[in-house]
Amino acid sequence: MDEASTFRVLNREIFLLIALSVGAVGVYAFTKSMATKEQQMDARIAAISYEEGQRQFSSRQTEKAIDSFRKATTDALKDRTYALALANALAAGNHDGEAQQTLLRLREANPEDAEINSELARLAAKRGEVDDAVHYYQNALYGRWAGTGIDDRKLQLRVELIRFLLVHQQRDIALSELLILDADLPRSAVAHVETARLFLQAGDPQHALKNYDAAIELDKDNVDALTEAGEAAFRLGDIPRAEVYLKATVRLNPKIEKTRRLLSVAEMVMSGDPLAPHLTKQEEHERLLRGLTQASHRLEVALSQTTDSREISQLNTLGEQALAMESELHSELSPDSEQTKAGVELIYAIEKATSASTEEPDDFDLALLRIGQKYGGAQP
Amino acid sequence: MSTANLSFMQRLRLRENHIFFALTIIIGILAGLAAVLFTLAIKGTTYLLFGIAPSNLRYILVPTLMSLVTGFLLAKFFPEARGSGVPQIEAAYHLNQGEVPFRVAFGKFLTGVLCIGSGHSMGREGPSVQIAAGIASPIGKWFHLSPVRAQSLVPVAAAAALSAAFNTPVAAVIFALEEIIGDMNATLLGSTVVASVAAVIVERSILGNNPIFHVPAYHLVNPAELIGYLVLGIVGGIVSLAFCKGLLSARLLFHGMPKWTKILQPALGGLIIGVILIFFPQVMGVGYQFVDQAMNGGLLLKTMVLLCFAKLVATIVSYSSGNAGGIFAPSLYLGAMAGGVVGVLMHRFAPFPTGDPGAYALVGMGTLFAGIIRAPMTSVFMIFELTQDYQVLVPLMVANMISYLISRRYQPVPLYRALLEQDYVHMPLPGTRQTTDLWRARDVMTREFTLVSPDSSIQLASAIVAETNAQSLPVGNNGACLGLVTRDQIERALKSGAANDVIGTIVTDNCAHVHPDHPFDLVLDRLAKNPGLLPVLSRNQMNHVEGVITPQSVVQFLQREFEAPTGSGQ
Repeated sequence: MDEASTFRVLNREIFLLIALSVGAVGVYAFTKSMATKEQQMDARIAAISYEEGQRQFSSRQTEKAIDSFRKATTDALKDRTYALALANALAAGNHDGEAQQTLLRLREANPEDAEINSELARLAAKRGEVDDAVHYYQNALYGRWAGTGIDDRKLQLRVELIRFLLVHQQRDIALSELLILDADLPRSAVAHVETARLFLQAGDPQHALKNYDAAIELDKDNVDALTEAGEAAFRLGDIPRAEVYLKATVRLNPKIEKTRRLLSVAEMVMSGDPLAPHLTKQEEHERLLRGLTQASHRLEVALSQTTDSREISQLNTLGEQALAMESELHSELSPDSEQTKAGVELIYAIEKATSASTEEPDDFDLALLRIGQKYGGAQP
Repeated sequence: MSTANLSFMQRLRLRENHIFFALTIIIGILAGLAAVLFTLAIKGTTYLLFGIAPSNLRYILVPTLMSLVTGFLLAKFFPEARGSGVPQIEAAYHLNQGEVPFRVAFGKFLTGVLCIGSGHSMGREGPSVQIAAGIASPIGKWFHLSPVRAQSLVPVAAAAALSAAFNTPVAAVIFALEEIIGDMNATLLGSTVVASVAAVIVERSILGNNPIFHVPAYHLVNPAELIGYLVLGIVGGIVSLAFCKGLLSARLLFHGMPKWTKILQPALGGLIIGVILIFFPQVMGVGYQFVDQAMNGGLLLKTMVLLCFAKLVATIVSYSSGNAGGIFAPSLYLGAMAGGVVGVLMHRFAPFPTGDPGAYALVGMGTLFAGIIRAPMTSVFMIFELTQDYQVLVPLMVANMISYLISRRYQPVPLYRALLEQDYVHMPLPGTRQTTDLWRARDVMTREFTLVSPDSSIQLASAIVAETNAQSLPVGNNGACLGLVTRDQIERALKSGAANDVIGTIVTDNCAHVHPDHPFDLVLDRLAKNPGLLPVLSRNQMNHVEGVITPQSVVQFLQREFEAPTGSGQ
C-alpha cells in the first residue's frame, strides 16, 4: 500500500469516527426519549399504587398498604410524598428498622426537611431513644417547613416534644421548650390552657397561672381554664385569686363537686385567717378561737381513734398546749400579733398531726391546713 | 520529539493509538446506551406483559408462551445468545481474537428482553456485556484495527456495559480485567477505565443519579462480629456450591434430552417459572427491589429463607433450560437473602452486639458473587463501591475469602468455564492466557499427520510407524483424537502375536495434549514428558486435532524462526 492509499484509508477512518459519533448522538436522543416515556409511565403506575396504598392504609390493611407504597416508591424513586407514606405505613406496621432507613434516605437529600425529621423523631421516641428523638424533634422545629398552617403544625410538634420530654423525666429541657412555646403561642384560649397544663406537669405553676389568665382573658367563660386556674392559684397560696376563678367556674357549671368544695375551702381560708390584713383585734380573736376550737375537736376525735402510744403522747402534748392557748384567749379579748402567730402554728401542728390518723378532714380543716402552710408550714 | 521527525510507519502507529482512544470513548458511550436501552426494554416488556397486578393465569402463560418464541429464535437464529453472555465473551476474547458478530448482539438484545421481561429469574448484566461486545467487535473490523487492538475492544466494551448496567464503574473495570481478560496487570486498564466512565456518564445522564440499591450505613458494631461474617462466608460458600452444582447438573439434564426438544426446552423452563411465580412473584426477573428490602430490614427471616431457595431453583431452571439471561443479578439476590438470614440469626443469638441484618445482606451479596462468579476482587470492589465505606472491607474480605475457598475446593472449575466446557469449549487456564508475545503451539505444530483409525490393525500401525519414523501415532475418527499409541506399545503387541488386533485395544487415552494458543515453553515441557508426539487439540471443538507437534516440527520451526528475523510467531 503506498502512502497516498494509506491516507485514503485514514480519511475513511476519520469519516467512520464522525459517522459513529453522529450515530451515538442519535441513539442517545432515542434512548433519552424512551427513558422519559418510561419515567412517565412509572409515575402513572406509582400514582395508582400510592392511591391504592392510601385506601388500604385508611382501611387498616397496613401490610397491603406497605406493599403498595413500596411499589409506588420503586416506580418513583425520588418522590418524597410516596416515600413518606411508605415510612409512615412501615412505622404503623412495626417495621421500625425499615421505616427508619427509608426516612434516613429521604433525609440525606433533604436534611432540613421538617416532616422527615419529625417522623424520624417519632420513630426514635417510639423506640425510647431520648437523645435521637430530641435531636430530630429540634431539627424538625428549626428545619424547613412546607405547606399551609406551618405555625400551627410547628406548635403541635413542640407540644409533642414537650410531652415526650415530660414522660422521660427531662424536666429542664421540657421547661426551656415550654418557655419557647409560651413566647410563640397564638391568641387562642385552647393553646394557653394546653400550655398551662404542660407547665403544671413540668412543676411551674407560676407560668401555668399566667397562661390560664391569658386563656380567661381571651375566653372568660372557658370552664376548663377557670377551674384549673383556680386550682393553680390555690396551690400557689393565692387564695383571693383562686376564689375569684372558682366562683366564676361554679357560676358557669354548678355541678362540678370538686370545684365547689375547693371554693368552699377557699372561702373558709378567706374568712378564717386570723393573720389576714386589715382585721380588727376582735375579728382576729374570733378567728383564732374558732380555728383552735375546730382543731381541738379534731384532736379529741383522733385521740379516741388511735392506739399508738407515741402518737397518743404527741397528741396529748398538743392538746395541753391547745387548752392553755384557749384559756389565754378566753381571758384576753385582744391577743397580740405574736400570740396570734403562735396560735396559727399550733392549729397547723394539730391539723397536721391528726390528718394521718383520723377520717377525711372537712372543709374547715383543709382551710386551716392551707392557712398554716401560708404562714410557713410545709406542704401537706 | 515532533511528529515531523517520525517515520511514516511510526506516524501510522501513532494514528492507530489516537483512533483506538477515540474508539474507546465511542464504544463506552454506545455500550452505555445499549445497556440503558436493554434495561428500559426489559422494564417496559415486564409492564406490558404482566401489568400492575398480574393474575395466576398470567404468571403461568406469559413465561411459557414467551419462552416458546424465544426458544424458536434461540434455536433457529441466535444459538450464541443463550445464557449469560459473559462466558461466550471470554471464549471470544481468548479463542476467537475477540470476534463477536453484530448478529449476536441483536439476538441477545431481543431474546434477553423477552426472557427477562417475561419473568425468567435472570440478570441483565451478562447480556449487556455480550451486547456491547457484539457492537464493539464489528466496529473494530470497520476500522481495520490490528488483531490485538480489535481483541482489546471486547473487555473495553464489557467494562462499559457493566458500568452502565450496574452503576459501579470501578467494579466494572475490575470485572473486565479479572474475569474477561483474566489478568489484573493487563495493559488495558486505561482503556477500560475510560470506557467505563463514558458509559456511566451516559447512563446517569439518561436515568438520573439514582443508586441501584439504597444501601444502609455500614457499622461493624463489635470486632467479635467478624465471627458472624465468617459464618456468612461458610453459608455463602455452601449456597454458591448448591447453585453451581445445581445449575451444571440441570444443564446436563436438559442437554441429555433428545435434540428435537431443544427448541421447546426454554418453554418448559418458562412453565416451571410460571408455577414458581404464583407462589413467589418476588423472584421474577432481576429482582433488585427485594435485594434492597433485604438490605433495609424489610423482609422477615422466613421470607428470606424461602426467597433464597425459590430464587436458587428459579435461576437454575431459567438458565439451564436455555433462556437468555445472566447469573450476575441472581447471585447478588441469593447473597442478599442468605446474608439477611445469617444477619437476623446473629442478631438474635450472638452473645455479642451485632449490626443490623441489612449489613449482613450487603456483605452477603459480595460473598455469593465471590463464590459463584469466582471474581473475588470484583466482589470486594463492587460492595465497597456501593457502600463507599472503608469499614465494610475487612468483614467483606473475610466472608468473600471463605466463600471463595469453599466454592473452589468443591467446584474446582469456575462456573463460567464449566458452562463453556458443557458446550464443548475448552478455555485456556489463566496462567497460559496472556502470552501474546511468545511463540504458540499453533506456530510450532504441523498439519501433516496421519490419524489412525482405532479399527485399523496393529500391523498397519506398525507399517505407518516404520514409514514415517514416528515415535507415536494419534488414534481417532473424523478428526477427533481418541488417544495415542507409541512405537513401544506397537512393538510389544507385535511380539505378543497380536498383529491382527485393532489398534483401539492398545491405545492410551487421556494422553498429554496442547491447545493452539498454548505457549512454546508449555509445549516443550509437555513434549519432554511425553516424547514423540503431542496432539494439538481445538478449544472450540473438544478433541478435534488441529495438528501435531513432534521433535522434528519443533526443530523445523526454530530453523524457520532463526532464518527469518521477522518471525511469524511473534
